[in-house]
Amino acid sequence: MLNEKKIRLMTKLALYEKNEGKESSKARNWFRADYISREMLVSFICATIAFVLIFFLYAVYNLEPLLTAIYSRDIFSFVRRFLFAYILFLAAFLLITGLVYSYRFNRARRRLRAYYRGLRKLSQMYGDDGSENK
Amino acid sequence: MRTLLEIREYMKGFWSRYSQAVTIGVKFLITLLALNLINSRIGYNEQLAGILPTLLISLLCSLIPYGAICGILAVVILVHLWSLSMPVFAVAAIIFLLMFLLYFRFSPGDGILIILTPLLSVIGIPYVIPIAAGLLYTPASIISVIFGIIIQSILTFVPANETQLTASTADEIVTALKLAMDGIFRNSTMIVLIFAFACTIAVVYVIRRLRIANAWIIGSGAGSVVCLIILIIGGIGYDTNLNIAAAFLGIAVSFLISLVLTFFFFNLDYTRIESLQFEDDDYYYYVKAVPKVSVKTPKRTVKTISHGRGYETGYEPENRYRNSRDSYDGAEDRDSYYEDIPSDEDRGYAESQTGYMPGDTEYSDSLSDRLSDSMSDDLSGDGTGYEDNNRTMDLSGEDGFIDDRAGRSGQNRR
Repeated sequence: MLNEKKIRLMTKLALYEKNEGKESSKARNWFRADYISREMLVSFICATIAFVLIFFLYAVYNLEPLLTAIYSRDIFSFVRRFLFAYILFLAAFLLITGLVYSYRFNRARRRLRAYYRGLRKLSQMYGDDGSENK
Repeated sequence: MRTLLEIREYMKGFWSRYSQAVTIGVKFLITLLALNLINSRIGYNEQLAGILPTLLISLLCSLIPYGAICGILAVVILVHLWSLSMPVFAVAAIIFLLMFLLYFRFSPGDGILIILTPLLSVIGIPYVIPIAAGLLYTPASIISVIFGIIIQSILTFVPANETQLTASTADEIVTALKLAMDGIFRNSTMIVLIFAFACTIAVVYVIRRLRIANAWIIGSGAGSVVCLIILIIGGIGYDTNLNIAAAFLGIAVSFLISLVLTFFFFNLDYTRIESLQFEDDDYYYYVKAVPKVSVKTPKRTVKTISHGRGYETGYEPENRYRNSRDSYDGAEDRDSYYEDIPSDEDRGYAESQTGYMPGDTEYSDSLSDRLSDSMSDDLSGDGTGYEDNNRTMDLSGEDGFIDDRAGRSGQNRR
């Protein structure tokens, strides 16, 4: 005999597993600070590579003024400007990463909690004997 | 109008039945068109530009997500550019690398916009992209659209300057690099387009989120006007190649297309129809879950102090149109307005047939928000068979069903 209530609940749980399962594993396996730190590290690497690429384009485009600056012993001010731009770029990118991934982590936690609630409900439907085979 | 509604219902049924095949077909077609465009503009590598590789790549792309399709198309473009000249290859490679490093790091899943922007530019209606992005996506899609415009700029610039871009000596390479960067980045048409599209997406998005009647249509109209104004100002202030008359025509056509989009997508999301498989001790279940549209309207309390009767009525409006007294037909006088709140039975024909609630107006953020909301709901049955608060589960006959035999034999899975 089909239990419609159970089917409804199982459908919701299956939907979650299908669509959000991967994201939820982050919330399950990581502490918040660790998770965000890891993402920031990846972002740091990405941002650094991206900045080098942008600088390469800039350097090729402005090759002559750049060489003039280097040869005219103005290299320190040039390095200062370079570092300043890099830090600014990095800070902006890391800030966005922090915001986005902190939001995602919280969302995943919220959904995971709801999923566990659903699982508990399903378990109760089996009479708490833990015999579900989902 | 009735015919249109019937078409919409038919499309929804068609989609729910053949969604996977349609998705594959659409991806194949889009990739094929994109490859065709790339080959016709910059098909310098003749082996790759042949019919067989094109078809094979299209077939491959029909099975992968749009983000990955973008990656493959980027590789195809790079191979062609490599065949032409190293400097322009380098510039394009850096642009694509930046795109993947900076943007796909957050993978918002609107890669299709990157592909469609150059494609629609060919037929003169790229303006439909920012309007559609504002209607169907978030403002983050601005970045996708910008990359689409940059790719369009590459596809226009390179064939027009291919002789200058070929280089062999070191000096020539540096000159060609500068020329490539000038051509791609210092392209006033591109900059004006980027600015116009970004503003259009923002305007459309903001307006369609407002709680006003016909927000989608007003948003599309306002976005079209903003786009046209910026293009005109840009055309006057900068040296753009844009033909304003053609742009006006393109924007008008785009607005009409956005009306069609509004009709088909407002309140409906075809892509959220899901087919699921799961099992318990007794059965295998093959369920097709068709989303209803849920309401997330703020609770509104109307306090009427008049006629000396002074009563308080609390109700949750079912429909944004009913939030506005002007747009509610029954709002002849105050009493009849509040007393004539339609009951569930009055809410239209579609609910009984399709599980959608036509009176409902606004999605919650995403499927999963709805999931988490509904999970906490009391699941104590509403006596309507296979419906719950959010979805109609089609468990019958042909589409998604519970096959008792499958449960027992474990072989007749669909």
